[in-house]
Amino acid sequence: MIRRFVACLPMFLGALVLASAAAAQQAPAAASSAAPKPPAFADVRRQQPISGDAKAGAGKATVCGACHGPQGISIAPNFPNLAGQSATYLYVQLKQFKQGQRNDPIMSGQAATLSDADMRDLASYYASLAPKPAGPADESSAGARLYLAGDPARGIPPCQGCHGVDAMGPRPEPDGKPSPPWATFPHLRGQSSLYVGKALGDFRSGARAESSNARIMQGVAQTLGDDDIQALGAYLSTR
Amino acid sequence: MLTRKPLSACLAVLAGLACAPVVWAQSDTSDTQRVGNMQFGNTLDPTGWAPFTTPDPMGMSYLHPDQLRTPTGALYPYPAQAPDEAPLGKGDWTYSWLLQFGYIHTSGDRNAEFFQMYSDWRNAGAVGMLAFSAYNRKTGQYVEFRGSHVSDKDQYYRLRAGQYGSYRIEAFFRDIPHVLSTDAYPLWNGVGSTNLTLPPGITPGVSSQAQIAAVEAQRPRRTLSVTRESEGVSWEGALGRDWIGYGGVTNENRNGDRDWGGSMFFSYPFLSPGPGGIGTPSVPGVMGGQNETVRPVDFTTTDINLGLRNKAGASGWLFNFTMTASFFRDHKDYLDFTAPFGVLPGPATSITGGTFSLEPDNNYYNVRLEGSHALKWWNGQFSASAAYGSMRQNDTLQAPLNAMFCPSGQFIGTTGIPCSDWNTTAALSQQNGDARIDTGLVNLRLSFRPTASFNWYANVRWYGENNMTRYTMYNPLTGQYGFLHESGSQAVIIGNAEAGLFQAGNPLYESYFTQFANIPYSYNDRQGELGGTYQLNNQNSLGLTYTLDHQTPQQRERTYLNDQHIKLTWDSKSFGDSTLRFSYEYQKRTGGPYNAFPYMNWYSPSLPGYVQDALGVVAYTVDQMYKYDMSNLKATKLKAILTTPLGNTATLTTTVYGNRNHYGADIGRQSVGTTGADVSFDWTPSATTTFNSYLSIESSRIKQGNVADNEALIGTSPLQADMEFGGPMYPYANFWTATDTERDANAGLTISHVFTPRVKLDVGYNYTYSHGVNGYDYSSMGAISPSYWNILTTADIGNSFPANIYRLQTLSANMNIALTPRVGLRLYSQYEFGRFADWHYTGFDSPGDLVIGNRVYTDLGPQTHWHAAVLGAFVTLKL
Repeated sequence: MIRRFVACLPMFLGALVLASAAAAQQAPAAASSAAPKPPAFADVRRQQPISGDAKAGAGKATVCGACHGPQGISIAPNFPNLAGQSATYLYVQLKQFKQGQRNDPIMSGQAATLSDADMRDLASYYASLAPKPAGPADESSAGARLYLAGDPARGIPPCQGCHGVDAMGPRPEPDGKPSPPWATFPHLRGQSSLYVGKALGDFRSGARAESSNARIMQGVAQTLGDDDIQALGAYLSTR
Repeated sequence: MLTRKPLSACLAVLAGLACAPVVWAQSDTSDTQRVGNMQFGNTLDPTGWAPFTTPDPMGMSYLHPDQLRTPTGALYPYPAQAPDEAPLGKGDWTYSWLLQFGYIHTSGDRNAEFFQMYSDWRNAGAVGMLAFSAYNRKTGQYVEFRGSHVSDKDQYYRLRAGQYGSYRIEAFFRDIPHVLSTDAYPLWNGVGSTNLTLPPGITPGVSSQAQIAAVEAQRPRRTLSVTRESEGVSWEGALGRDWIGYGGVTNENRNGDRDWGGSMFFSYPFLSPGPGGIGTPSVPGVMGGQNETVRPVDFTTTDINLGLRNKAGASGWLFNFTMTASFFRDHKDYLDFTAPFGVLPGPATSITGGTFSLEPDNNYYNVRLEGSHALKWWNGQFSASAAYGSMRQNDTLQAPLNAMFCPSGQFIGTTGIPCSDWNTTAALSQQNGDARIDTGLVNLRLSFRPTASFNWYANVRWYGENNMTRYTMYNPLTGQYGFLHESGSQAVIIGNAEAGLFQAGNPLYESYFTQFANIPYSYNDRQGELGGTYQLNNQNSLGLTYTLDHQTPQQRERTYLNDQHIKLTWDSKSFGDSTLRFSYEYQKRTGGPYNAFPYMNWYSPSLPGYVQDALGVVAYTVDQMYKYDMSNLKATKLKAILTTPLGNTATLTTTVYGNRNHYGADIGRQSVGTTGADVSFDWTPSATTTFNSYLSIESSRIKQGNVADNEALIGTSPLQADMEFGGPMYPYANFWTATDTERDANAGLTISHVFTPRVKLDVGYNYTYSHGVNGYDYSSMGAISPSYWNILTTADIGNSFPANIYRLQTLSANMNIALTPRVGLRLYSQYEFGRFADWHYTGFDSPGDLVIGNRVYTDLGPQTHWHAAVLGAFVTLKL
């Protein structure tokens, strides 16, 4: 009797599930017809370092300079400095603005009209500019400690692991094993505290999460408190 | 001072952060095994879940595209994508479900034994999977149900629930089939019960062999199988901050029937006089009987486990305390069978059948306490464990003979032994088994890591087994010791002298050599081990272990044994990117003087009133016959595994191994050897494609020696008592050896590919081949029983039996097609063909062949050639 009951149980439950499935299928179908198609997730793990024509990029950068400064040093702290930044990082970000994985009222519109060659050229141009000079950072500050050593007790990894000990990007030694797309990791030195805070806040909230790199930062940012973000911003802006 | 951190360490932390959500969708293991049953699966899907998973292209990390490798160089598999989830109510719960149902069709030789062995394939509907899971990401609580039903004998249902880091419970029910024969033709009625009776048309002692064969030829074909049905519940949970408790009850019922014995004393063909005199070939014997019966299997085993573990105890001690109990119950205690043939030609004698006492109920208890404590020196650790166990049996004992086959008022043949003296439990010295074996264990271990590159340990262990069972085969009704062999049939044929009884003062029995009590085998084992590993550099580490195992068995051929082992290991990464794991072990066993027969205390000559026969006790064995667990031994084992990464997506693994055991014996097991090699190639170019292949070959050889007794001396000369190899009773000319050799090969490949997100195909092929030969050699015809000399010539004997062959090829394919995000189709197919040859079944072509002389067999044996196919079509619905 028990055996028969057990044998029948899946069938019975299956009928219930079928009925509920038929009902449940209605709502998402209706919803999906109205919602815009979300952008495809950007997997940048196989991204190779890019090349572009920096000289041609200089000619296309006039509009960019209005915010990011004529020499890639931004005119206001809410805009990132681009001078000396990784070309591959810049290219990947422009692509994501264009494809919709990143959203910004200004940048999404600016990137929409750029061709792939434009993005490569602009990225190469800004990478070729001299970065902002180093500042008088306090190497004993809380931000410095977090950046260089993290906080294992709270699960915070050290930022330098991916962004370089001097915040000028990683300098890995190839070992033939699967490795991250180092060139897509940004240089952080000299970015304003405001911009660093916004970026980490976007990662933490999930506003910026549609690429493999953003997922990494999403995991990291969720370990950070407001004070941590402020301390890191202060350190990097004066680095 | 802040320093630069190793990059790899940072990446590991990041990878962990990035991958946490994926873990939920992973494997079906039961983790510690303290909670829950083993791997759940069935013949449609042994993995229990793999067909429903799709590899996650993101792999295990957002950092890099390819999979990392294990420390030994194997690629980690791609994790499965997490299933779609939907909110459950308004809280933090989400849920997911899946239902797959369809129909399975089999064709070809679907009753072939090997095809059905663990499958119970049939044409019927099936539920491939019913799964439901709910998860609360905020609290870590979860509920998960999975079930699959291929047939009533092949199904499982499992419910798990818990909260990560807090508790876990599991309940399950499952059936696993095990088909033992699909070609059985039992002669008896009542198969499955404890009483086998003869079908109409057979009158023991009257029906001829041909008449019984004719009845046998009409018996219906049956499948003999055993189903393991099990169910259980278990729990594991935190009890406060430092304690973890766990407990579980599992109940397993084994039900079915299987081939069994039923001897009614010797039934040799050569004993029959034929046209050419005694020993005429092909003329079957007409005395005794040997019957392949069918016995019921009706067991229940209930296991109870309770435990308490401390993970940060007082004063630095860590504890683990476990109590286990296992209760085995055999619900069918005996098997009676009516013999189809009279023990002697002519009218039926008083012994018309036999009886077996089947397995007794058994209770097993064990308590174990383990503790460990860190030491201040050299990063040391001290650990100790102690355990006590006890096995007990106390069933009501069964009368020596069954009154149904030896009724009161009758006598056993012409011996004058009244049945009434042996067919009730009054013939026993005690009414219950009262059997008990206690075990004890103490283990102490010190381990140290004085430097980062060196660690060593010392371990001492004591284990003791004390058999407290004392049973004397004594019949208070007659004052006799011993037991009536073969349900009394031996006495019918040979008479009082070989009935199996000893009785002081009775000339019929006062010289009979027989066992009269159980031998309480016990032993103590003291073991010391010293070992360590040393890392020479970044590429190489060496390990060395020495073990001395000192055993003091009681009631055995040697009073002590010393087993010494020395083991060397070498792990190396100095061969390019490859990892080598090499081990070599040498074992040497020695011991005290060998006594070929230390059991006299439990045999009749040790009883008062035993009268030594003028010719002495027949030497039933030879002094130089060494039992292999007591024999001297020199053994070597070698194993090397080379794991070679090929780029970031492929791995080649090569393994060679071998072992050689040489026993210090001419008579008994002489040597055992195995040599083998495995090669496997695993390639995962991307998450969507996986290719695995392997080739495995092995050869093994076991050789044993023996010497035939000089039958001419038995009952005629005092030399019959000479136990010396090379003496008159066991001359060198009668020496023979048996060598079993086997060659096995396995090869296979699996390919899995996701063509589009909608179509996933898995294809597998397996080839298994086994070739075994039972060979022999002998010094002269003296090694052959003289009874066969008139039948056999050296040309007939040759040097081996025909080869035993098993060859199986299986091709399987599984395709999952997603018709919509919620509806899919699964197509499953398996084609199997094989060949089997075993000389034991030679001549069994039809049921009528199963009667040979006074021997009745049940099983025609597995099919020699078979082709069979399985097709399944399923609909998959999911959230």
